[in-house]
Amino acid sequence: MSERREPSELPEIGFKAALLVFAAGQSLLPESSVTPWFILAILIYLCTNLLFYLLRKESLRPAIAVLSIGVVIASYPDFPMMILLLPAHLFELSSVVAGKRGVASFLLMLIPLALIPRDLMFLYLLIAAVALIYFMVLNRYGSKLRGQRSELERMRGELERLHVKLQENNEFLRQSEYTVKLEERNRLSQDIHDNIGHAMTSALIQMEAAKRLIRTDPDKSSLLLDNAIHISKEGIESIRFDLKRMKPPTEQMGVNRMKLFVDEFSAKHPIRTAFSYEGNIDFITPIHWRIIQENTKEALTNTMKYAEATAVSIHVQVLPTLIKATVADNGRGHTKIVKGIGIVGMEERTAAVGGKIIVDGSRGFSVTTLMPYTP
Amino acid sequence: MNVLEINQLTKKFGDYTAVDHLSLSVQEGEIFGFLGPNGAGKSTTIQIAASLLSATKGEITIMGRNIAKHGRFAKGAIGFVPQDLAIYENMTAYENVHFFAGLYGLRGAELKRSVVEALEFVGLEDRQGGFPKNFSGGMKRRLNIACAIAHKPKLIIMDEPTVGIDPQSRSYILNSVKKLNRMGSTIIYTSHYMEEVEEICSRIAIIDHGKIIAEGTKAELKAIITNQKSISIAVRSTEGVPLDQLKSIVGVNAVEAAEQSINISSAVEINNLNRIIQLLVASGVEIRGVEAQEPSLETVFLTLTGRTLRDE
Repeated sequence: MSERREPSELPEIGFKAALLVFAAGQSLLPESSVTPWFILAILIYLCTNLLFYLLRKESLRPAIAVLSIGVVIASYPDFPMMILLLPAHLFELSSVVAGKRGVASFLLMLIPLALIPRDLMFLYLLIAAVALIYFMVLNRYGSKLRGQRSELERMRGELERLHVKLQENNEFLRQSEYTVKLEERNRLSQDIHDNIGHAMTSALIQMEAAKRLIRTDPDKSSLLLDNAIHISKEGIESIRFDLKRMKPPTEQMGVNRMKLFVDEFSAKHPIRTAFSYEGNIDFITPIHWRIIQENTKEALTNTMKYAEATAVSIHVQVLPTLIKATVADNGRGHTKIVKGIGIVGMEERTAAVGGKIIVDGSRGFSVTTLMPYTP
Repeated sequence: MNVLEINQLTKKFGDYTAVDHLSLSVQEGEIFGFLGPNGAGKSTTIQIAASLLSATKGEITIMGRNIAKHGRFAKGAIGFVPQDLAIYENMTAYENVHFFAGLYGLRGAELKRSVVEALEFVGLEDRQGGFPKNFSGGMKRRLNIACAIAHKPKLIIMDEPTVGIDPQSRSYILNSVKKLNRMGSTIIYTSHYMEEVEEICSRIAIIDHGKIIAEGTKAELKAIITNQKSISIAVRSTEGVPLDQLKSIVGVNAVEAAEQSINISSAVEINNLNRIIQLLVASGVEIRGVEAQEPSLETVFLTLTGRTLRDE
């Protein structure tokens, strides 16, 4: 709510309060006691006071607080009642200089007690106590509010971060699908070019030759036509074959890509690597392959960084309801694993398909990815 | 209704994550098994559920009420049997149960009756005046259970209640768990003995490194790693075995005849043993022994994590 308040509002209220006090004083006090000096003292006091709130610069605040105290003390000999304003300023000064220390502030407020005439002492004490309680409550309220505000800020940041992450994950899924589509399209066009394209071209050439020879050499022409028919038949066969073959190669591609990746890794690093798989790997979809590969990459990076291992094995296994991929090294392992960004990244990636990551350091270091699938 | 529901529970000890975004729900009337190796996070999870530890993150509801807000209710609804014995050696068995039941707010005649019932239930009514320091390990475990059930909680949580006891006491305890369940209590049972969990639990969560890695009935968990069981039948001679007819029995995938045995691989969910045996008997084959092998939960755990449940 404080954000909604206009910044000029507080000085306005102060100004009106001053006018009100002046009017009240004028009408209640005898004419003679309100001397121009008194009004001047009050006005100077108000000015220094407003200055304290108007100037936002932290370094100037103690000086202004001291100034206010000076004004109050200077006017004390002529107008003793002004001393009652002192506690609030002393508290202000002590909280600006020394922070929130209630007892110290109170003791500071008691110092002027020695100078005050007896008849004012009780009133002064009362005001000092009230000021102390009032300001301390205000302080506590203020710090609570600040705490809540920073908590709100933190939560907003978190929300923002999660939002970005969600978008990234969605993007990852979308991209994977797109990649697969592209690869599939690539393969199809390659196949059409390699097999059917060639067959059709050679059939066409032979048919054209047959057309030319149809009068002069009917025998040769019919031989050529037979050939063309044969080639066309083969072409149709190969189209059928390609259509049937359309699904398996994507999975084959997954395994091949994995092998390639592992080979590249072992060529670049001084460590023995082994890749193996079991079960019906046809059930592993491109998205699963992608997650397996990214997790493997991450796990291998970890191994190289921390494990001091000489060998690492990568094993992909298709169980009846789960796909399991394990990267295990023979390094020193670690009994208590602290989750870093790498592991959290693997977890998030895997959770996108409802899977789990098990990181174990009891015998060497191993990362197991478990993902459910529908056969 | 879900008696217990855990949602994204996380518990950290410093940097170490003991329980990692764990979610599960336990329905009324279940014996829910928590299976995992030592240090997997089983005890931490149930200690949080029993309000003995506070969660770092996540929430737990018991019978629909958040335990953080309804602490008193949650504590009264749960009977917790801790792994480390929580009994006083210098108080009699009766006084022990009396003391704990009193903590749950039972008073007067009801308290006395409940104490006696609990002691009877665990078979210690004859020893109610005895001191635990003179008890065997199994008796202490049983007294430990009596202390937790006297106030008749809806949900009984048992943390490794059979650690380090003799086989008789173990089977006594397993039977009382089943009896408590029949009497209407929902039970959460943690153990790293997979035989126990396999014997008594209707649903099981396999937990490792603070995460649930698989959850379901025994059959569902086994189906994760295989859908085949192997049946091995020892016979006098495999002559005259109707191999083709055997293969045509529902569920049978492969039949192999060795010298004195027939090995059949069959779908795990179909019970066709009767038909196989009837067929063999009808064809005059002399059967000497039958062994059907299903994967154990130990194998499930081994397959999923690459490790065994118990430290060798």
